[in-house]
Amino acid sequence: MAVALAPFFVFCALFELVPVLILLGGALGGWQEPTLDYVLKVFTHPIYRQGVINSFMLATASALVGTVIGTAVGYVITATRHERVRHGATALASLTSSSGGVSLAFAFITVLGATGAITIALRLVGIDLYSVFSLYTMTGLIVVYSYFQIPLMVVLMLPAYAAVKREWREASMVLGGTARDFWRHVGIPVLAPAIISGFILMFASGMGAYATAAALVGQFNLMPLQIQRLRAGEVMFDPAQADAMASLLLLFVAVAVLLNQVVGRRARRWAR
Amino acid sequence: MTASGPSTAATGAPPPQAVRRSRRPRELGYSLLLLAFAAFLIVPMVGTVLFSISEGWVDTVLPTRYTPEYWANALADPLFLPTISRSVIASVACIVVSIALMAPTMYVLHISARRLRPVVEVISLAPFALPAVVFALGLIRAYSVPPLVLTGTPTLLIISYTVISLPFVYRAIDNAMLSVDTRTLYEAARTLGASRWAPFRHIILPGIRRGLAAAALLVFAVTFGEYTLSAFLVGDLWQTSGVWLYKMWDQHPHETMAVGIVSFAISWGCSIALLYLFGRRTGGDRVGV
Repeated sequence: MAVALAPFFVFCALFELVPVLILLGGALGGWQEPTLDYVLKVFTHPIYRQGVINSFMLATASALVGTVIGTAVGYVITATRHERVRHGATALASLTSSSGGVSLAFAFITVLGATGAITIALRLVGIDLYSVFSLYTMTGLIVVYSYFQIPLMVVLMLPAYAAVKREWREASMVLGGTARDFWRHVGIPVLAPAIISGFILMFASGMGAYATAAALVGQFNLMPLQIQRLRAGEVMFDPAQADAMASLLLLFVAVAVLLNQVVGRRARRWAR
Repeated sequence: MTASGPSTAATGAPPPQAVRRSRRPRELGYSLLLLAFAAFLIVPMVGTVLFSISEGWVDTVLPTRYTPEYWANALADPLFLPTISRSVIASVACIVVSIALMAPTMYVLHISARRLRPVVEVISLAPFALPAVVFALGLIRAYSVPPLVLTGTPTLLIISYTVISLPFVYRAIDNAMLSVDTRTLYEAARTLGASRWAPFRHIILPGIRRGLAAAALLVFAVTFGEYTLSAFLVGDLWQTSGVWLYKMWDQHPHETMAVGIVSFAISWGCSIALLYLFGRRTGGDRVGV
């Protein structure tokens, strides 16, 4: 019977394992005479290092924005007594949480670009948005990434809030606890794993996101964009360096996802 | 505009007498937050729609003149139908391959070979940790030299979509097979003299069809109009709607938006179908026999 599992294992070996192994091999300059030069160069070469730093900053900042706002919105959706609002907001969040990509970047250009609707509306009331903000900078990218990070966090937090049982709150009140006591000793500890896990997942998706950034700021120093330029660019062409960059990006994201597994195991204890 | 919907609904009904005083400011805060949340998500969509029908929208908050011209151009473009069709073909082929690969695999895992289950789970969920750029580069490195040259072919694109869909398909089929109690049904069928695969074909597959539908819709929503893998693996050789969209922006931004809306509408149609079919809990865990 186990023979029937062969197609799955062959498929995954060929198209999941082999590509990653070949990539890692390329990063080491070939399996014959492995060298760490390319990997180390990512950290020593100023432009590559800038890419790593920028990617970390973008992923962290957009994940932080997503965590704070998503946690709050998730709470409000759970707490509101209006069924229709709850359903509407939940549907909106689940639709937009998987958005992103080229169209999203273009959509933001129409509203927050240099001649976007909001930019011009602010100018009419005397505020020059582009003196403090530009869509084509790190801040702009954080705003655009928040478009899918916040709803993603909301979608992740809704089951966690549902796990905070009303009875626990009543029990806490009956025992003389204040709302603050409840959140400090029961609510937050129960929600913490979900919040941390959400942050990590958003960090991972922020690190790896390519299409949105490519459409908005193609020449920016971010790891995914640099990988593309090293692979096919005319100025930066350096295949082994591209492999090294990609392997490191994979490492960062994989570590984040593994960390999330550890946190997730704790979070599931309460979700029953 | 839809953005005003939640706020009026949230503040509309008066709260019960006893708690009115303490609740009102808080409910107002809730409404404002939800309103801001909805506005942030909806305004870029409205911008997209307006941009696709506006003529010379440069220095005003709202467009001054509207025209159906860009939509007409986009829909009449000789590349419109081929690129959208290729995207549909790639996503549908990926759904077929994913289910053909995973349904028998999950069946075997549920009825025997349970020790291999954690292994299959790790392999199936691993693509979550694989950024599209990294995966695309790995596939290019592995399959643009003999013995197996696949880059530039739709085959490789479909394979790559299948890999990134594995986590969703694994979860959906696993949940569905758990909820129909595959092992018990299998043992009952075997006791009655059925072969090993007869229960799969006649009992389990019909039983999990809602779960399979959930998996299919989810995979479609994730892969349709995808850009990164398309751009790296096939590019212009087998141009999909995502790649076309990216290329036409510089010269025809208004038409780009029209195509973008069509593309969004198709993939959101799937997501909405999913929400309606399976309530708020996607993944097909409420599957009936």
